[in-house]
This record gives sequence, structure tokens and C-alpha cells, in this order.
Amino acid sequence: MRHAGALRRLSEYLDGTLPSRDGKRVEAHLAGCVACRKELAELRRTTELLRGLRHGEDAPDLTAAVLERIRSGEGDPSASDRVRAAAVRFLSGAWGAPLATAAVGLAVLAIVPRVEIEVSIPGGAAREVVVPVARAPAPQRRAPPPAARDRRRF
Amino acid sequence: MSHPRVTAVTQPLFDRARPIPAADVPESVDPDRDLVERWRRGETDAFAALVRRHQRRVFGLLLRMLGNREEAEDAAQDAFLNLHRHGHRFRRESRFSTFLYRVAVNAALNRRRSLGRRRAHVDAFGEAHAVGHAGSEPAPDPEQALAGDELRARLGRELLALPESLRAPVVLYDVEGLSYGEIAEVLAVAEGTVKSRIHRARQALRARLGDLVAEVGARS
Repeated sequence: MRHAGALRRLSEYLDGTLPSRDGKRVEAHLAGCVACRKELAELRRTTELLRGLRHGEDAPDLTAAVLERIRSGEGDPSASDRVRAAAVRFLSGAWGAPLATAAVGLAVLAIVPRVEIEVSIPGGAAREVVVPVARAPAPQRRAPPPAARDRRRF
Repeated sequence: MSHPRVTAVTQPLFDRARPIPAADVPESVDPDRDLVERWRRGETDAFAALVRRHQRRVFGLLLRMLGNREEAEDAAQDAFLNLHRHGHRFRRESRFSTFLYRVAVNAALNRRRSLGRRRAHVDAFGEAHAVGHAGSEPAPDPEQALAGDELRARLGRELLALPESLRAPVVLYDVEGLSYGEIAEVLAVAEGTVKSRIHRARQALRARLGDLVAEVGARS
């Protein structure tokens, strides 16, 4: 393993999270690299110092203040959160998913636009069929030319 | 002494969708599950018990993130209120404590933003620790004895000097003891990103703590 590669993996090696093959390669590099051994020792010392912060923190008791703020309404979910929570409860129920699927299906059927197209069959009469596909854009009435508007106005 | 340059982290802290674990966390793995269920059924006592159980760690994390006891206390209250407000978003695929850490980190980031990104009160950090530590329980191990008030204040200052994107992972791993995977979930980044940020944070801290760690390094 090259020096840069070993250097990048020193923290994982220190944490014991490297796969064994990579760990052995790092160890092989460490055996011949004074700089990496020094780096490893200093990183180890750094983590030991940080772990020393785990204990002895004198934390305040927040329970009373938090409950008081909740009683005053500060911890209430917003309207959108309430709707979302209700939806989650509904969907997590036994009938929630099937009913939601059915509702979505009905909604899609109701709103899918329909368009009438004329199909000409050679040798037969023209027939009108209705196909539920994207609605063709409605022809837009073109504005009269400025001259016509002017004539109407005066 | 030359410090290694801490390059800007291009990936934001909260830029990826949360991973979807395969199954719910069983009750044996998540000791909070019973309390969470009772709280969701409307039992205020259960929520209060969750606050009492986690407030120390939440406060500790926020103190490391913000560097000021008052700010940390306010942010911790905000975190628990946000938890109460958005608790329904908690899914049982992850541990409750992981979800709570995520809420707490967000509270810290929101508070820093609301403060207009002014620098945290570094000096107050040391004073607060000198006062706060006086009445705490005896040191549980030799490392704690070593970590006196002055050293804790120094470590706090050096942590605050790190960019937030590096500080959060190293605090969650080395101080709070979360795993790489849990941190990835809390910060919503890939596990590889967590590993690399932890390593870069340690390298930066090692350089800044040079006098404290160099002696050991020289002996090896």
C-alpha cells in the first residue's frame, strides 16, 4: 500500500473498522513508515482526548421547561403535520393502502381528459370513436386584427 | 506550527434521502420503543421520561456543536419541542435515539443560522465548563481525570474551530459514541462521507492540539 493510501485509512484502522485485508496492508506499511506511525499515535491520542469529553457534563434538567412550553402550545404540530400524521395513521391501517389505491384510481379515471377523433375506414362509413387520451388543445379564438377592433370601438 | 488546511466540504450535511433500512428495529435493540409507543398513544409521562432519559446526551452534543451553555440549553429545548411536533415522522426502522440526534443536529444548525452565524462564545465555553463541572460526578476513568476543566475548554475551542460539516461527525463518533452507520443516518450522508469527514476532522484537531498530542507521537 502506498503512503497516501495508508494515511487516508489510518482513522478507520484506528477504529478497527477496516476489512482485515486492508488492515493487514496498512500494518505492513506502518512497519516501514515512521511518519505514518507518528501520525497514527497522534490520531489515537486525539481520539482519547475527545472521548474524555463523554463524561462529567453537568446538564440542566430540561423536563419541566419543555413540558411547560408544550402545554403552552409551542410543541403542537402544524396543520400540515396533523394532516400528514392522520394520513400516516390511515395508510398504516389494514384498509388504508387498498382504499387509497382505489381512490387514486377513481380520481385518475375521473380526470383523464377525453378527446373525440374521427376514424375513416376505407370503404365504410365514417365513425366517431372516443379515446381516453390526452386532450387535444382547444382551438383558440384568434383575436381580431387591430383594424377590426378599431372599427368596433368607433 | 502549521495547521493542515481544512478544505471546504462540497457535500452539504443534509443532501441525501434517508436510507431505507430493511426492517423495523426490534424492541431489544431500541430500549426507547416502549416509551415511544406510549407517548404516541398520548401519554405525556412517557414523553417526559424520554426527555429525562436523553436530555444529558442531547445537551452535551449541542454544547459541542454550539460552544455555549445557554445556547445549548435553548437548542436542547427546541430539539425536544421539535421532537414533540414532528414525532410522527419517526419510523421504527431506526433507533429512536438516532432520530433524536438528527432532530438535535438540526436544532443546532437552525440556532446558528438564527444567530446570524455569529461566532459562538468561545470564552464563555471555558467559564461555563469551569462552573458546570465543579458539581459533576467523580471521574469514571483515568482519561476523565486527565480531561480537566482547562483541557476540556481547549478541546471545546478546537472543536468549534472546525467547520460544522467536520465537527458534527467527529463529535457524534468520538464523543457520543455513535457508529459510522448511525452518523450517516443522522446527517443523511453516505457512510463513506462520514469516514472521510471523521478522518479529516481528527487530522485538523491533531494539528491544532499539537502540543498535547506531539509528545506521544514523538515517543512512538
